[in-house]
Amino acid sequence: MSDMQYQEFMNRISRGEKIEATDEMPDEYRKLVIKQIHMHGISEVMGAYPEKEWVPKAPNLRRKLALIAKVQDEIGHGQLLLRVAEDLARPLGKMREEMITDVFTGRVKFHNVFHMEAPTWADAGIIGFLVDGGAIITQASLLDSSYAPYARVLQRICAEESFHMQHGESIVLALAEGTEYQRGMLQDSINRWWPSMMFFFGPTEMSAAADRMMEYRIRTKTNEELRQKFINRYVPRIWALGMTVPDDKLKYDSETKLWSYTDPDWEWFGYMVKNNAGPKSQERIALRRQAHEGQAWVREAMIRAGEAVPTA
Amino acid sequence: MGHETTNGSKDEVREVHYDVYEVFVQREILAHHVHVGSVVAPSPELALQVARENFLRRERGVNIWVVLQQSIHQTSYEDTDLLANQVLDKSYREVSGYSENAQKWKQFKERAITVEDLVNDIKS
Amino acid sequence: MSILGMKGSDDALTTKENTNVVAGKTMTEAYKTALVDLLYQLADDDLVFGHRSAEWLGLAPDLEEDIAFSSIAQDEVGHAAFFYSLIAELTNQDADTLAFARPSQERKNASLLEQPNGDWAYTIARGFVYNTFEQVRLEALLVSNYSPLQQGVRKILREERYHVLHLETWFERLGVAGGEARKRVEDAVKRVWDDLQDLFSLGQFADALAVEGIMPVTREHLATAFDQSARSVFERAGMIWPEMPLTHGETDGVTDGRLGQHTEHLDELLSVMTEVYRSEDGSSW
Repeated sequence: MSDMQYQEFMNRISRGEKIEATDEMPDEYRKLVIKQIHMHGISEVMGAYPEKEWVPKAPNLRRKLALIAKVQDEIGHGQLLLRVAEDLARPLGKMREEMITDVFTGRVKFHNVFHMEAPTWADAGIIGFLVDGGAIITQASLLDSSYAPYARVLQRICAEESFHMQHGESIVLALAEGTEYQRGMLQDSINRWWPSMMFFFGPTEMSAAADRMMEYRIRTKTNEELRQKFINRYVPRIWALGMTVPDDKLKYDSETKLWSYTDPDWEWFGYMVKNNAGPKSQERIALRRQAHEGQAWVREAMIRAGEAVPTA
Repeated sequence: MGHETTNGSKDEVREVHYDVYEVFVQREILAHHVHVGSVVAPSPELALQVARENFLRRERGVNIWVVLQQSIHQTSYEDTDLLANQVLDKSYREVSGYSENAQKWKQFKERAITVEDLVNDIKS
Repeated sequence: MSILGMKGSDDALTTKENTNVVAGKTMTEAYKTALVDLLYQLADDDLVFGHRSAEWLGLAPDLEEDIAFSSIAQDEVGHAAFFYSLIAELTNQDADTLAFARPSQERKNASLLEQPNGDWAYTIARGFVYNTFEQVRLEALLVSNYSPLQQGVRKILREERYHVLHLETWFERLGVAGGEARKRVEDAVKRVWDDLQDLFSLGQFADALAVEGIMPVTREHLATAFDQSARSVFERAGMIWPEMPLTHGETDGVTDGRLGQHTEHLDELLSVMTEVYRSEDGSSW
């Protein structure tokens, strides 16, 4: 792409125009979009595992049904996003196979929250309440992305997230109005997830790649802006439940309209995501590997059968 | 893409059959393509060109797809049960199944919020 | 509010006024006993099968199938919830208690369904067999004189259409594919057939079910209808039809889930399923 073509592309971006898979685009733009959507899609797929653990143990029929439906939606979001990434990555020779196997080789990362343990039923609620809340805020900020196919699928994803949000809150509310044991379980879970949620939106000082994504309007809000929106919505709600947030620095400044908070351990979380070194990283990657590699024979067989059986 | 057949009559009249293309129109950039009808045309290029005037001569559109009709696989209309997914109550996977959340938040002296509230937070 | 939070009489599967009444008369104890036993068979089958199917979440051979298979799991748990709600109304209990608080020896599911999932071939073979059987059984219930059941079954059968189509397609294609897939699916069929007998059992009150008009068929009828339906799919899959196991006469020594006889796998399943439920007695979750 010549300098002039690049300038023309950037003019399109600054006019608020949307880019399609078939449009001319700088290589850097293509790679950044693929990276963003690939990571997003894989995070949805990996995000199925912590909640999946609670499907067999859901404590009543309605919760069991809802949790199956919720995990199904997460995989569904992964499917929608990976299809968008795959269409853009095809000229680079990447298809579904590579999108998935990149998880095993560490070429694609997934969100820090999905490396963490979810040891109690309360975590099934807190994931829906806080993690989905955070995810909705992030995804809402991407509805205006310059990459049109991404923005289009996000509309559907956000609409489906509205059930996730209610489902998570429903579990949390039941625990909050429950016995001391249940309230204790809820508080423990909030304590467990809070630092992860502070890391979830990324460091205040953004990476060079994240800055480029802002310039290309692939994303339009800073990490800190999103984190502030999250704290502003969720801290008062946690307090209202009679629960505490494990951060004594948490305070709203009515002049700056910003919350102060304790920084999560940036270094540790960063290392964990980069090296898949969290408490559950390897176990969940092994599940994905089991699903994909362990059943390569199924996919091969179905292709063979497709050649043998004429379609109607 | 079109094809010709000879009807075998003594006048040797050649019948020309254009292919059928199904037409999908995208009304605005963030909308999905929607099926609006079909055209017969001698090639995909001409199918796109005539689709424009057949389907978008008044309304706004940003993109058109044409798909060769024979490339489409479909479910059967007779098999009405195949797509029956709302026969039994599925409110557990709908927002409407969680209306009691709002009352509970009220008991905790908080207001219930929806996904729209979070989306509006971002716009503000 | 019922377990599924049904609203409005149109959507509701249960019609209150019919409970405990058959053909305008209060039901006899004998009728009720047989009916409740059958409802347990239906509910426990679907719950155990739905639970096992949901274990595939995140593990199916591709993402698209993961989603499709999850809908089948949901439907089955939903059907179980419906059958439990019928028992709940007849016995004045709570559907969740029925689903979560009964020990394994009171469970009436066929032993085939409690077996671990195994590989995808076993899952498909068992799923295909169970759904084919289920369709046959539900069709027999279309003439049940217990109208809340009969009406619910009419709706459930509509959802089963997709299950049967999907599982038949998979079974057929794994068979046609040959090679490893074919071998795996043949092994799976052998294993399924080893556990097939009690699927067709109608339990302790089989005679009463027929006499009372609750489910006016015999186990032989179910087996024959199953044979007809499944045999053709085996043919399309290019597989040898294994013939039906003994479905009548001597069944001594066979684990009959319909009589509360189960393998250790049901205990394992229940201990996982009820872990949270048991952790705080009588709590709302």
